[in-house]
Amino acid sequence: MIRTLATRIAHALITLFAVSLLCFALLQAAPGDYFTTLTLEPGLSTRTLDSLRREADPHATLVQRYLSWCGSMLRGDMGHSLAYHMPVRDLLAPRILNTLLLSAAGLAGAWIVGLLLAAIHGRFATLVHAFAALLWSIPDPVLAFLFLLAALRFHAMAPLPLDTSNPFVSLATAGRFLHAISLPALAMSLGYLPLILRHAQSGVAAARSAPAVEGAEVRGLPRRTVWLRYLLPEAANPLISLFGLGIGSLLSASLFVEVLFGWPGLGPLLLSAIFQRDTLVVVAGVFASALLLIAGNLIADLLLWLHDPRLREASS
Amino acid sequence: MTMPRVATFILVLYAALFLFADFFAVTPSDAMDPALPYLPPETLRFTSLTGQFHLRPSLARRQPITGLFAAYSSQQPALIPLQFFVITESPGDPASRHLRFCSIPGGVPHFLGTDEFGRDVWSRLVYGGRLTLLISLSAAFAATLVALAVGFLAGYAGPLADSALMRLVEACIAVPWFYLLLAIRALLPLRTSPLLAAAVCAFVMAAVGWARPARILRGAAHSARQSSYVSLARATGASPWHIARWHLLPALAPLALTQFSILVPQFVAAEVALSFFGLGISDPLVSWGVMLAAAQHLSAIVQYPWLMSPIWTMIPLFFAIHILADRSASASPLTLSFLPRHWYKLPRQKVQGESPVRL
Repeated sequence: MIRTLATRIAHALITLFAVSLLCFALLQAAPGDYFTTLTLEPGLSTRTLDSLRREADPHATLVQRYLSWCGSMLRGDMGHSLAYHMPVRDLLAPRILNTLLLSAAGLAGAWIVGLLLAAIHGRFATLVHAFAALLWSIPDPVLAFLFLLAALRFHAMAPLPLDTSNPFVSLATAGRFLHAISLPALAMSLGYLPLILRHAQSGVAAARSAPAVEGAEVRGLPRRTVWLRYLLPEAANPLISLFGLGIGSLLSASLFVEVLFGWPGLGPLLLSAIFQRDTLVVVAGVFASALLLIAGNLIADLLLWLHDPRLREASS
Repeated sequence: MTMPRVATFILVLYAALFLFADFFAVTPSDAMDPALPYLPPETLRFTSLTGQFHLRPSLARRQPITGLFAAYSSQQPALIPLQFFVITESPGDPASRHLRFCSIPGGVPHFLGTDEFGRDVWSRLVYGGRLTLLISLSAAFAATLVALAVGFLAGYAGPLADSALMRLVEACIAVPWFYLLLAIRALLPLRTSPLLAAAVCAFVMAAVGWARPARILRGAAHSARQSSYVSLARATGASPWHIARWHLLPALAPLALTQFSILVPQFVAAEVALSFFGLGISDPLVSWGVMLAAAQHLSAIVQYPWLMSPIWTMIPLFFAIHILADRSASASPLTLSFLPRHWYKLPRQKVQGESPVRL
């Protein structure tokens, strides 16, 4: 296992390196830079802009720029944002927290409801199937639009508390926070629900006819024991992989919802940074979510290894 | 099995709508009616003002209140009888001359209302859907082709090429696809001719979407390569090209088709998102994403909910695609039961008769 883990981590590092190269190459190849958007300002002459540009980026070549970026990543400040005049780390940290709150709430809701619905069988199973098929046919952006419509009609969009970094300081802010997060989180979880439902349903259906489960039923064990001790472990493997994917998408899945609902997360910031060509903010944001994606896969593998003794046997 | 039938019916309906867009739309997508901004959807009536029944439906046109923007009087709408199958032409635009399925004398019927500039929402819905689907279908086609090629190469070439290609795929998957989409789009010039912008949109989606299917197809190519029929073909001295064409491709084709049908709705969603952010299609072309970008003004979607009509046309389409994708994934390989057998013929049947490795 140690060896497998080591290979996986080595692969992850290579992938991360490739991702950083990819981001950098893409953004460097893009025409113009942060200062080209400023050329329309009447108060700035081209000479001023040139000196600003030289001051902001003294590095001549792409390689030097990349190396200095690597240095700033190692130092931990992740470079300097041109548009916000502050270290990218301080800019991203609260935004990342907000995004994590939103997508964790959305995913947790989807998982709980999905697993509960997958356990239903018999008469209501068709109903659940139809519900899943309906949700499955609504593309995520459209679902977000629908929720926005509903929000504007019935919900009265609440102004967000200014400081979402610590939402539970008082009961009033907590209430406002819950009010603000409820609809975007619901939109996210309904978008994610059919995926979970599908995997859980097919997993449960397959596990139902597994010899261990049938044996447990034949021995007359109580239903709860059969479910918890035999059926769930049998059906868990694909769900664990899905869970890892879910962890990986915590930072990236909610972008559209965030922009649409004005949630102060990573999405709107990255979007405006892309438009403003605030290179280092974009690279850092993409890098953070790629890191999480890879970590999610690793976590899933680790959980699988812990859960499934067959994998442990095979690797040792 | 009625579900696949319903789904096929929906798809055929949409295909007809988009193929004959010039017939079903009542006006060009960019024809403006400055006198009628934000006109609510107009209703059809089969009775005259005196209550008499007429077989020919009339359009109840509400009159704009002079001096106010987008305000329409609710009393005494003018009843204008509809005409069917008319050749119309918007003034000063000979290129817009088409046979339309219906029209009214001296104007345009607005069945789904109009937008800010008085453009007909129904016509934009038809033309926009055509472009959205054209872009997503071609992008999905390109992405599937690339995935198939990479999958073949990785599954068939040496372990070194396989490993290198898979690292590339993993890097592409590790970047959140939406950010990658935006980043690649930002790389390309923002202001281009509308047609080029549409092509760029399709290209960007294909460039982002190929990685996942490639990984899946590579796995399938790997396992197909180890199968006994490929070993047999190799033992009888078949060339790699022959094996790829006649043994691996038939084994991968159903999977590739499923991946294709998974990509299409994803790409429709991507087009909507890109255009919503102003990075996709630009005027005078129209797509569903461009129409939904009206939602950027929150007040607009509350006051003029008919602007959101692409939402309601998208859901049946996605439903149909998902049902058929499910079917094609679970159907026995090489048959797609929702199509008549002869529509969809893969070379395998032929090969079994002609192949040198006949047993």
